[in-house]
This record gives sequence, C-alpha cells and structure tokens, in this order.
Amino acid sequence: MKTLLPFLAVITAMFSSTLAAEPVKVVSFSTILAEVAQQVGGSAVDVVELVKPGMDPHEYQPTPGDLRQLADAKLVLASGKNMEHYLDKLAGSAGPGAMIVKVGDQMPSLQLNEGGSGLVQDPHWWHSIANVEKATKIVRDALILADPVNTAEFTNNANAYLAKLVALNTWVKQKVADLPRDKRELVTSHDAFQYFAKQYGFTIYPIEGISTEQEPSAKQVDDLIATIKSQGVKAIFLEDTLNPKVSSEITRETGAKIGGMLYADGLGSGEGSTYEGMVKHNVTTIVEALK
Amino acid sequence: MTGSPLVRALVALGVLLLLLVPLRSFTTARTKPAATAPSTTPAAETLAHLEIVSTKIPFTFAVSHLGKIVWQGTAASSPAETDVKLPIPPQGIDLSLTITWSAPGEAAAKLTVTHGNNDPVERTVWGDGTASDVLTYP
Repeated sequence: MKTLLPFLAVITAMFSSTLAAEPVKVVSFSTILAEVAQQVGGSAVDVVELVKPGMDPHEYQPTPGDLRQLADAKLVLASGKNMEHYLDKLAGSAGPGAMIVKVGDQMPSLQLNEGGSGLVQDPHWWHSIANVEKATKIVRDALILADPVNTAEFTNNANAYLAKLVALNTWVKQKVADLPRDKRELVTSHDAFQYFAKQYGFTIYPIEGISTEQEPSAKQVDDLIATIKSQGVKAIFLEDTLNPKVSSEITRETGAKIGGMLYADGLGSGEGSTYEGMVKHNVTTIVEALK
Repeated sequence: MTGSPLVRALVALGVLLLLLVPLRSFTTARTKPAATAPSTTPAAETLAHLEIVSTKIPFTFAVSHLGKIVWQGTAASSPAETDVKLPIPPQGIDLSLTITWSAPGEAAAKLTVTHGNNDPVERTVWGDGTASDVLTYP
C-alpha cells in the first residue's frame, strides 16, 4: 500500500489539475456583463452571451436553446433592476449549484417616473462608468466563489480592467468638459441615459420611456416638441429601435438636428463592439453634435 | 324618419362632408415650414476669483475652460490666486486643472472658485509628482 501512495498522489494531482483547467461556464443576459466576465475571467472562463450585441434586451425572449445553455452554467449574469423580467421563471433551468447574480441590483438605482407605472428602477446602469467599476468587482467576486483556484488570475485581470475604466472615465470627463454645461441638453430615443446624465451633468428628454416597447402617445410627442423649443435643445440622438416618423416630426417641428446614433441598450457592432468603444462613440457623438 | 329619401341622402352627405374636415387634419402631413434651429445664448462672462492652495511648493499649474487655458504659471508659495472672466451659466462650469510638483511624494491641491455673491466652491486633486482632473463647479 505504501508503494501505491506516491502513485495515487500523482494521479490525484493530475485529476485535480484537469478539473482546474476546465473553464467556468458563464452565461450572460447582458452584453456589457459578458465583456466584463471575459475580461476578468480570461482563459479560465467560457462566456456564453444569450443577449448578443445589437439585440434589444427589453424585447429579448429566451429560446429553448438558451435554456439548454443555462443547464450547465456555473454562473449566470443578469443586468437586474427588472431588465430580465423572465429571470425568476428561468431559475429552474440553471444547473444545480449555479449562481445567478443580478448585478445591477447591487448598486443604487435611479428612479424614473413612467406615467401609469409610477416610479420604476432605471435598468441602464452601465452608462455610468462608476457602475461598471462596481460590476467588475461583483463579477470578480462571483468568479472567485465559482472557481477559487483561479483567485489570483481573476483579481489581477479585474485590476487591469478597472484601470482601463478609470482611464476611460478620465477621457470622458475631459471630452465632456469641452461642452458648456448649459449646452448639455439632448433628446434620446428612449430613456436610457439618465445614469450618464447624472454623472456628467446632462439633461435628457426621452421620446420613449425606459423600455423600447413603449411607443410615445401623440400628446407626449407634442409636449416633447414644446420642451425642445422652450429649452433650445439642439440635437436628437437616435437608436435603430425608434419609429423614424416620430423623430422626423420632431426635427421638422423644432429645427433640432439629428445628432447621430447612440448605443443605448448595450454593445453593438463596429465601434460599439466593446464597452470602451461604445462609451467613446456615444460621448464623441453627443459632444460634437451639441457644441 | 319621414323625409324623402333625397332629403335624407343630402343630410347624410352633409354629415360626411363635415367629418371630412377633422379627418383630413388628422391624416394629412403638416405642411408648416421647417422650424429654424434652436439657438441658445452663451452665458455672459463674469469675474471669477480662482485660488489654488497646495500642500507642496513650488508647483506649476494650468487651469483650462472649454479647452482653453485661462490661467497658468509657477507658484513659489501657496496660495496662488487670480481673477479671470469666465462665462458661468446657472448650471455651473467645468475647469481642468493640471498641476506638477517638483518635490517628490504625494501632494494635494485645492482649486477654489468664487464669483458674484455665490459661496466659494472648492475641489481637490491628489497626485504623486503630477495630478490632472476635470473639476465641476458647483
């Protein structure tokens, strides 16, 4: 038996290292959180995006294939703040021991008045870089819980990503500083940029509400036109989700110009395929149009 | 209804014609000329007092507003202060402060802005050798 012990120890070590090398499967309902998980997890994670770049998370519905992806996930990341209204129903599809983390629920919410729905939580927390820094720490801690063996890698990767976010925030502050504070007023397709507005001193007049599913009424459009005229708002920023008839009516009635397209609900294609690219595109588009 | 069919038809036609007016206004695109682009008047310039207090001297600094340097220099003592004209809207202003200390180690600098009858507003930057940040007033 004594002669077998070293052999068994070697076999056990080999088996353990094989297990440790197995990447942690992370399933994400947010394009932003998928990037954060990939940046923090590095080669130790396998990230599956259920909500893919360019998809509207407000209108996303899980497919049977998505449920299968959840079955063997170790970590499920959601934006939270009621963005994924279907999540509680899906919880049973996740594998045993899978952690479901509603990241946005762990940070303060802006409350927005949604007319008939009263005050609701604004789910678009990622437009504040400070919130993405918090999200990075939340994802790091969740990955460490899921895979303690790679604690050092997750910590180092998170620190590197946090340093990038600090530099990005400095860039945004410098870019926004080119715009007088009394010119920081804009119209957006839907009410997705209030966290950005709060952090950098903007006032946002949204055409649609928090969700892209809500079409504005004729009275809301008329009220918005009156506000744009009285406040002298110079530009309207679009997403591909907005009915173009509404934006063209507003530009015709007010003289405000189309300022460009913004990435509102997460990552997209082109410049907006990374968080840094998305932020730089949005900020540059806004500042150049309002100058 | 005892009127002749011709009278009834004429009444019905009249009602339909009356309905056409509001229907047309609902369904026809508005033909008003395009509004002119909104214009905002820039905020008037007011005299602002700027003061930099630094934990270390000497220091070299530059204060920028809207991308233009409004005050720069080297100070052998603290505080350094000046008056400059700045357009300050009710929403406030952003000032970029870049400061360099010749002495090594951590240091801090506080930039205070006072204008009109407003209370002084102070913002602080920290750094080791140099610091740079956009400071928001108020």
